[in-house]
Amino acid sequence: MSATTIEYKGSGDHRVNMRWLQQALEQDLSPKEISKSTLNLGSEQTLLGDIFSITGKLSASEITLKNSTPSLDYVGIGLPSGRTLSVEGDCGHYLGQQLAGGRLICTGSALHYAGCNMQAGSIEIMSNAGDYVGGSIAGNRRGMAGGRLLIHGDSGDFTGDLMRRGLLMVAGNIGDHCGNRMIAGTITSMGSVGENAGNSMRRGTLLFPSKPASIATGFSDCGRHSLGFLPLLMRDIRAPESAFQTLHPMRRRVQRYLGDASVDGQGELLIWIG
Amino acid sequence: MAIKLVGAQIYDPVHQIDGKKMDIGIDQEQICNADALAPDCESIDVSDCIIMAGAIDLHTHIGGGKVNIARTMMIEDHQAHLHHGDHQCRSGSGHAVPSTFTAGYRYAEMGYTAGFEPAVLPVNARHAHMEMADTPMIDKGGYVLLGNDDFLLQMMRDGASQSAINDYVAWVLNASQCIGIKVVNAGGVHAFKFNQRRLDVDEVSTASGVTPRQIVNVLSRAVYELGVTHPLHVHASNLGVPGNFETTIATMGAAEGVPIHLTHIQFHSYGTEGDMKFSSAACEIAEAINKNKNVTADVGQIMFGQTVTTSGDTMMQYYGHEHASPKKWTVMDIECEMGCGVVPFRYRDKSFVNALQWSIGLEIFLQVNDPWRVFLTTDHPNGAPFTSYPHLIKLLMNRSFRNDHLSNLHPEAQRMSNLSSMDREYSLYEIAIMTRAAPSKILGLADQGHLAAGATANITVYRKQDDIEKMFAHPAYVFKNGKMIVKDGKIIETVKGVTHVVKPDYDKSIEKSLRTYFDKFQTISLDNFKISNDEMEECIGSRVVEHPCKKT
Repeated sequence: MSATTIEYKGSGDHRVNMRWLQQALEQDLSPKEISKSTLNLGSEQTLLGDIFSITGKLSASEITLKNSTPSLDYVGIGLPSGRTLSVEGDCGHYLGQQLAGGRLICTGSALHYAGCNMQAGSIEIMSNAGDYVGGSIAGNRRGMAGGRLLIHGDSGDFTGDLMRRGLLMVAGNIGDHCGNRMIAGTITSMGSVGENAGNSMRRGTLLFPSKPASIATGFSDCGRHSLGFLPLLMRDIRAPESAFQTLHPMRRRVQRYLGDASVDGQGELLIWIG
Repeated sequence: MAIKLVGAQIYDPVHQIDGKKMDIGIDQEQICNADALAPDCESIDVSDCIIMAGAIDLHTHIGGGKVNIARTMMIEDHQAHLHHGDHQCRSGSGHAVPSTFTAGYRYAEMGYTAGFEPAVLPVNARHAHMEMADTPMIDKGGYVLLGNDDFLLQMMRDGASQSAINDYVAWVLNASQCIGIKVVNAGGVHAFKFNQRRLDVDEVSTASGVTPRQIVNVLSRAVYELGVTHPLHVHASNLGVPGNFETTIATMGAAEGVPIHLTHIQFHSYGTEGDMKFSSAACEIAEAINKNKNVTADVGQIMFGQTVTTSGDTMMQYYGHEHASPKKWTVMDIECEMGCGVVPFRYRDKSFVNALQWSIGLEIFLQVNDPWRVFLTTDHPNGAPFTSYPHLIKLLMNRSFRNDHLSNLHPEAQRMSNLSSMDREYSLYEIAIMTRAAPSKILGLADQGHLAAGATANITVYRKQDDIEKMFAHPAYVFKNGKMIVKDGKIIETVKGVTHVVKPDYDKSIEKSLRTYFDKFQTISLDNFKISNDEMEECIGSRVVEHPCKKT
């Protein structure tokens, strides 16, 4: 079966809301039906067929979005399990929001809120991501609640804000306030981490190669440890092809910080040693 | 521009017109005698339609701090309901607590031409008016909150005379550009700040030293003696507490015969009978309203589904916070004046309590004999969003539809309710009273809510259909100040409303003691507190229309 491709032909002047793809997948619409439906661009209306050309059936398990630009928001929102969406190019905000088990690969960078409120599945971003990766849209009580989010480049501020479950891996550097208000889950990186890491963290694990620029004030140093669970965690961390595979699978020596005491937190911040 | 609406059935209870076929003329902004118009003027054949005046919602939370808090808190509501802009309308979002533009559009699409925000905090009035000015299509007005403010409670504790209190009330009305006074859980919100968790009508608040009964009494008298048309708008004590109907009846008594309006009375009509210790006291409440001619009430009907409760009543919002769904809530202190509480809520038809609440609201509607004294509201968004009004009208007008709904509810609630035995079905004439004629009368809007020559041309034309709900949801035409703003349920022109206010006279020397109080305690200075007519028009963006006070 030939792969299904969706090609963006628009100018990129307007922000384009890609929720239509979620609806089209749910209702299994034909490319013809989709082309005829309308899309709002600012205060203008256009036909979907005018800015997207679709070949193949949407019932296919693998879909490719070609020529993507940072003006496409909500790419892969709510993507269900059994579906793979490959995005060729950059993405706008809310990439893979509320991902529901699907697989999402973006060859470029994503803007803010990538993978926010994702429930299950996996997102892989080949380049950088903006703020609130794996976080929560304002007003929600929980951020990322499951699945794996892998960024090969850097991520912005508030990475893993209100994160509840899942594995968030950043091969590059992480900005400020990493793990802000984190409830549970794991965030790890191969690069540097900015200010105020672990602010208001309740539970969960932050695992970094070096000490962040600053750690939230409510953390206490608990000394050096050799933790038996780390080799188990390494299996998951080393599973996908990434810079993390250079880590030794049996590594377990860390400096451990516990906090954030300001919210009675039991979260741990682990720094590799030795 | 002159327009003639030809051949429709007219419902105008102010002039006792009950379905008579008549022509209506519109000349510029006013209704005129259709025969007086030039024969070649634009004429619209509406012979398959009925015509009522533009509807007026006298209790709807559409502006002010707590609505904004609710909007930011209910992100799900806004994410799920995005409304795109087009060349006519601006974009917006939300269903339970819609954004300002969306609220205006949805009201206009249902044939409403005015809505009144019932909880304007004096210190927050500027913000509330700005938000309401931002709400297009409809006229607005506010009721300013008193009864938990330090200044009034201090006056009462010091034994100030009624006339001094009248001056203060009039000053606040003038300063805040409002049309009425509302009291929320009199004294209770203040007591809550001092760690009291309940306050009954005749209980002396340890913090302020006065009882809710005294507060309701002096405020209702003040409003009456100042000649303000809208009676004191009372959110009684003990909202939502089983057995609170006694409190409600006691609150009616506190007015001592002076006009008083009890708002969202459904939430105040609960008994304690039955195994669950929760029952309907709609019968007792309706009887009390029927007996006490000085009492009016709006119902605050609940509808099943997701909404958010926004209230100044921190005491009772705190009491209800355990039921928050989704689980997030806030109550906060507004310095010197009031409080505010926002608790999201999902009313479920399979819940015994919610099902009975639904039934209690309808029981009150059906048992109050005089439609001039009971008003159709859902206390938007506390009972349900205002967009459920057409559904509510159908429940009132169609007995079998009502009973079908009742039969799907929690079985115990069905057993506890005597709704199924009620035969009454509201007529179109009575609906016109409840939603047009009576609100305009109780608010003192002489030029609205009726269709006589000289009235403002706020007109709703409904195309007759078998399904009353559809008819009321999508009017054929809506005219606002003579302009056609809605055609076939779609907005064709956007307009701006005005702000209705009253400005009773008072002794200016009250400002002397107020100035001392402001300098000592308030967050802004007295001069910045007052909102002038010019500021309303030029900065806030809504023209003020002043309505006269009765001389007593």
